[in-house]
Amino acid sequence: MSDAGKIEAQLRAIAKVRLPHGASEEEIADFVRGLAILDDVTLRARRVAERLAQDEMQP
Amino acid sequence: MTALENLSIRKLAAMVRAREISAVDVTTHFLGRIVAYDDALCGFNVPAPEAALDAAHDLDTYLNAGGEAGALAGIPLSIKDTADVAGLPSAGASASRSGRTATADATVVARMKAAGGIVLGKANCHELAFGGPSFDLPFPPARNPWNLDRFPGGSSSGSGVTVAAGLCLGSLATDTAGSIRLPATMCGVFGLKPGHDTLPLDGIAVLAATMDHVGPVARTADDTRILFDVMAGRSPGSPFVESLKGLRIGVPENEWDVGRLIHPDVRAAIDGAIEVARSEGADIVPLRLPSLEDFHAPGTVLMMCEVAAEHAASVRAAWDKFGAIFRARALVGEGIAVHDFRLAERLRPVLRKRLLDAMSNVDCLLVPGALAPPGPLASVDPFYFMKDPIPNIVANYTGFPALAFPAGFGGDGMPVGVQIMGVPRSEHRLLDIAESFERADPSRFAARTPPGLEGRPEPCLFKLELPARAM
Repeated sequence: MSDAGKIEAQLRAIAKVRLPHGASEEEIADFVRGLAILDDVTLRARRVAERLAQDEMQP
Repeated sequence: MTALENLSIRKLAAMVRAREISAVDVTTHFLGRIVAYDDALCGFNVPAPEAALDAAHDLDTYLNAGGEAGALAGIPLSIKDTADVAGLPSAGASASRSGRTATADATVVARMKAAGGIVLGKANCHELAFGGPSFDLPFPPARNPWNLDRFPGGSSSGSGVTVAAGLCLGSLATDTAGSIRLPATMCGVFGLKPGHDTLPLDGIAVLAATMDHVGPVARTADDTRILFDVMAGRSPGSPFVESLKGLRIGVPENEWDVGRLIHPDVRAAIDGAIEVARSEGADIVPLRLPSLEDFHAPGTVLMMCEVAAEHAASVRAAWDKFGAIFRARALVGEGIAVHDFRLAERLRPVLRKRLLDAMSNVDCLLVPGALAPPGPLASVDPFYFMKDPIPNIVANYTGFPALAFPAGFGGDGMPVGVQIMGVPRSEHRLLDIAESFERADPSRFAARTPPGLEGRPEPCLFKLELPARAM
């Protein structure tokens, strides 16, 4: 990832979970990684819902 | 004479009730083991020798006066630091709750005490049952008694460690995504996560409201049964005496689509359990289930949302009072959109029904206790449970009961384990099945004492002033 890309990802992470000012650079990087993993998990959960019959799911 | 730490709960409690040994002598023995061994293991973060000896003395006085004690008479216990024990610190291994002392027992703790159990102290754990293993908390992390540099599992790390090391005979632990079963597996003992709403959770710190469970860790299936029954407010029944013959044991087809993640030692443990079950007359039934990923993804979304809802505001308000792993894990869930949370909620009954249907004609489902043996303690990825599907979360998401038990050792000498999952209200069935395995091949399915922890430590009552451990 380019430097600009890294900064953008970090800014998005900070905005998304409103990290406080006390967070270190290393910690912010870890949040970025955690958010990316969780984004992936969320996408996988959506695919599970698409594969399972929609009529089984209550609104 | 068999060392006290190798006796069953049923046997030792009977000895105490019959006045063959006093509760004070039992308590003193186990406190001596804590003094001798726990500096290295860090299984207890709040030892409570004075309270334990007082309780033991009271029990002896009561028995000597003709009183009748219950199923845990004189049995030494550890209680996870997220569960309240009246008069003891209850900080969940977190600086954020430092100085908090419980004023009342959690209901399950009260039941264990009422049955005669002696609380030796609070068992170490990951911060608030979620942040660890961490080296930036008020307490150092618990270490695996089979190899001090290896992960003992978590978050109920101290529960697994104190039981496996023979520092007590039973422990109260909690499980939100495997936190009872993982340390039981990695320390080579038994751990039961009961079904949802089976045991009361009051007096226990909330992690993820609909995923949390409380249950026992112990050295044998029967010990686990006794602890579970006491925690449920029942008198334990007689020991189980049947066999595996005629049982139908389900196994997921295609290794639940996670064969690539299963370590060879774990696969060997599952194969060994299947071989023993077949030789004892059980049927092994391949089951077509929703993939493990189908449960893991929405279960993880739900858990991370609930954790954030419970803890993110506290973390943000007192940033420096939490460890880095807890901060990371508690906040990332805020990044999940509300519609994804609802999706995970709506998938829950669907997947529960599919699992129930698939298990309708088997006695249990046999799966790994963990996909790999315990790795180095110092290099556990904070997000390991999100990256790849883990079998444990299935039972939290569906609310089904699950029981982890030993299944031998890997090539590097570390314990490996299996778990069996059952339909709702099948806890006793699972305990019976585990006991059948334990009896069929004790060399493989019974808990063992780690090297260096056998035998009786030197008497060291003069050293029993055990302060709460700090870094």
